[in-house]
Amino acid sequence: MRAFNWRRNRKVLIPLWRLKTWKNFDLLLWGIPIIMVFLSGFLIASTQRQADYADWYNHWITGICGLLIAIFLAQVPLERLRPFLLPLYGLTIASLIAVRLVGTTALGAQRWLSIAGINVQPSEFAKLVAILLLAAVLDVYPVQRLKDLSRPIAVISFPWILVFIQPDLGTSLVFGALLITMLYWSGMPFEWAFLVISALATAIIAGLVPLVLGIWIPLMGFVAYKSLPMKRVASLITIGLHGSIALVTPWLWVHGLKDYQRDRLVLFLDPAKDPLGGGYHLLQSTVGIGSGGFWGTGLLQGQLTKLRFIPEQHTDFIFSALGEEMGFLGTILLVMGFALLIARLLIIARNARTDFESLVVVGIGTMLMFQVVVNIFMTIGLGPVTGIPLPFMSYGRSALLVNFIALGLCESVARRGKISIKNL
Amino acid sequence: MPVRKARSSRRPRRKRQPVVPFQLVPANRVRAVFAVLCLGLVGLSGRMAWLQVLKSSELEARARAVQTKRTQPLGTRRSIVDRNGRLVALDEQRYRLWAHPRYFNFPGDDPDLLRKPIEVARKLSGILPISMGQLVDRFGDRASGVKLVEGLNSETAAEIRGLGISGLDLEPYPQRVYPQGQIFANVVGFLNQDRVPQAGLEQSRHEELLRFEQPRSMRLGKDGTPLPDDLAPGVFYEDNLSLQLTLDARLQELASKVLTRQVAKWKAKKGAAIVMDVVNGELLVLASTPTYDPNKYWEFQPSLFREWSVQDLFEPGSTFKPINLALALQEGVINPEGKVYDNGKLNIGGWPIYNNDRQVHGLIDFPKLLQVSSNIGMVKTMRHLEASIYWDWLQKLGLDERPDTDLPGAVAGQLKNKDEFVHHPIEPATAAFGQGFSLTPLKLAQLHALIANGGHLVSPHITRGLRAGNSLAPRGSVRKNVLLRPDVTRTVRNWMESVVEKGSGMGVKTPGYRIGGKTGTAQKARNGIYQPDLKVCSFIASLPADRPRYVVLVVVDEPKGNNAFGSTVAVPVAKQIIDALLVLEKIPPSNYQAKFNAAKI
Repeated sequence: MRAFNWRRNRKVLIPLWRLKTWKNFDLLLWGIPIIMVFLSGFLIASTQRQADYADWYNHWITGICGLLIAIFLAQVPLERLRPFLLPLYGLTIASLIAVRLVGTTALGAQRWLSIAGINVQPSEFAKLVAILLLAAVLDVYPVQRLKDLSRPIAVISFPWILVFIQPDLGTSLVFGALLITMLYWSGMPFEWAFLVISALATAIIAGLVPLVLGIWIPLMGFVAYKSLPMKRVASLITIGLHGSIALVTPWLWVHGLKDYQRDRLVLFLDPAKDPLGGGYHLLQSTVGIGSGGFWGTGLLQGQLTKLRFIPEQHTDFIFSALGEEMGFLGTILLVMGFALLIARLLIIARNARTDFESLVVVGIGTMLMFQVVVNIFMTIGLGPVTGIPLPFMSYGRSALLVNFIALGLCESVARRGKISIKNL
Repeated sequence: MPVRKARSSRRPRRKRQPVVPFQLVPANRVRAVFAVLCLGLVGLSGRMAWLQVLKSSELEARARAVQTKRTQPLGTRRSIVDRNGRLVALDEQRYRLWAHPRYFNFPGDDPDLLRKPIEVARKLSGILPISMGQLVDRFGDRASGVKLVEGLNSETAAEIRGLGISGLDLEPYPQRVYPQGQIFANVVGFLNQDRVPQAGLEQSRHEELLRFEQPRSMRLGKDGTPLPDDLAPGVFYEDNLSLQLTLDARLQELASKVLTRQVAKWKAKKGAAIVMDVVNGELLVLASTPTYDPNKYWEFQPSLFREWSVQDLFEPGSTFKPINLALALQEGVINPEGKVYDNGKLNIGGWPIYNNDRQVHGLIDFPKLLQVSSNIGMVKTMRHLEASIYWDWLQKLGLDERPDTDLPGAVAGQLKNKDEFVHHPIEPATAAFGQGFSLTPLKLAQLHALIANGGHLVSPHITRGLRAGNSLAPRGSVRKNVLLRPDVTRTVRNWMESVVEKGSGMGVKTPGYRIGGKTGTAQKARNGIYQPDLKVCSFIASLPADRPRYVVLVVVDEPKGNNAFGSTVAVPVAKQIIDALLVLEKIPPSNYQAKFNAAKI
């Protein structure tokens, strides 16, 4: 007896509020996203007061559609999806290539496919498909030895590269994050994850304070020596890899990135450098959030929000509308909501019946959480502008559908979990 | 859960699944993942607290600043118009052109391209009144804040704006312009370069002339749309009030032209002409010469910036005689039909007194006395009036008071003190023919208005008040300060009319009109001694004599030549002013009026 057991209740028409299923209703898993979508409808409406780039109610309609799909998916055991994974993977790769060829260009990147008048963003779906496929691979070949890494990396690299060259830096970062988390979940030693993540640190250090590399790279070698098999060789390879990253990064920085990408990545450090150009987003967004104060101005009352002072506010910068209109209280509640959601997902993952299911849920949790953190950091001026939407809040049909589908998959896992956990 | 187990066991499974025993993910691994994923949220919450709780008010202020546009008042002034609404002084929008060479960029250029000053100068030189070379000189090698030109009109400004060159900035500012030039300078005054009023009405009515302006702050959307909400009422109120004068620009222009010509002809020092409405004291003309151009005030002597007819005193001489006669009549010390014997010479307290033409007129009546302007006759007539009563009357007329007027800088006249006046017989004797005391031309006009209007003292003024738009300001109400009986003034008016009919004022005779008048040729004293060759020639007229509406006063100071008298110097000027006045004010001829009245009866 789990939530929404249609087969059981279909024949007996009893009032909705007396359904026994409500008692088993997964409050955190469904409640938090539904509240967010509901709330965000107002925020989007607020950003669209002076002009209609998007109809706010589309957000609710998409949310309801997504919810229905999710409820349907929750009935389907995840294992049954396995046969469809390869075709889905193929379809995703194909759609990403199609974007490259016939996609709609916006903001310097090709991201959308126009299908029957509806713009679809294949990279959003690609994230979910990558999670499923990665889980399937790791389920069969858990990471125990170094060479076990090759399969998952191979699987994820196709969509990853295709997304990266769109270019969609934000989404490709999501791929990286969920790869590492899922590898770790499937048994990869912590130090390996550390070595991979620290490659990013190496790149940053190489760009900012190259002298520190003298300590940093030997340290990495030491970690490798301690944790990897074939200690000496691995240690040397690690040092070599990090060294080459340190060498290549500055070159890539100058020649590999377009101007606007470079600006986006560093402007948050000093948005006042270009207050009317790229820094404008960051300054306005920060000011907007701050002006909300503790209680906020109230829904639909945000002065900067409703006057469109913050660009792209209904999509990537929706958090600033929340900050202005609902204040510190609203933002903290939202952050707590996401934290609770992720906690719930991790518990589902831990109690999952199979490794495959567990990995899927962890992947989804990572995807959501990574996007939350990167998006909010961008919005409040602590991170670069990377174009990652805020799950359930940002206006964007593809992303919202994908997030709800992901929730459906998680619920499916929860229902089949070994230990029944009601309402956490 | 037996049902579920049964169901799941029915499912096709991968073979390895039952084989590999399922293990819970270790708790520390779960915690690690949770910690890593939520790590960001902690920092984020701290940042939110910082932004929304600690820095909130500062950021809110910044948010309001971003969307609020403030406009500072430019300090514009109200216009000044004449009685018919003609502009006498107004603010024009001018522009100052600033250049910031470090932003020079033409429309359509690559945003990173920086244009050279010479290129900008080439484009500008066609529009601006200065050459390309001068422009380049002004740019110098400064990066910003170069003041190129001032005083551009709005057409030029629009042309420059049309070029679309970035790095050029047009700053609007108001410029006071006086379209009537010299004609009103003595009345209106001017503003200096810093827009500080320096003279005239601009100075005395400074507060009233300041336009009501408030710093506007308006909420704007990102695209510049002003928001209709949170606008205080009256934000868009535009002050279009102007200060209306009682002066008539056409008459004023004519008067100053004629006066200037006459002053030049007689090589006189200065001249003034006043036309006053005798009923309410409005001045239609207050012209004086020499004067200056307020648009180029810096080219003139600062001593010209005052209006002498209001601020300087003179001894009126014979033009004061009708007023003396009115006082004698009012006190009943003379009979209107009475006569006086003019023997041509008197000696009072050791001072010899003659008629100005040194003639003997014999036994004359009062009209004749005025026609020949007999000094001896006047002295003998005024002897009937006790000196102390005479002095009291002169004081009652306000000779030693500042007249109640809105004219800037008006001064009081000078009168000997009562003791001196009463105990020295020479004082009332000289006062009888208008010497020994001094007043301003304005005061003299006011006193003659008193005769003309039937006995009340009016307040001479040149402003009617602030008016809105094109409507005319209403006439001010008249406060009656009655001093003389109407029959007295009527008698004096009749006598004055005879002066124009057959006396020294014949020069203003106009067919069909009854005009009263009196000439004056006063001697000027310098260091207490009367100078025979320094004269003030004046003429006062009131018209129409039967029911006067206006007095016209012309005063010319120090005309040169033996033939310089009131009748030769001042009367021709008055004649031309009267002619214009009759036409412009549409005064019907007296005989016509009489016929009309007769027909009505």
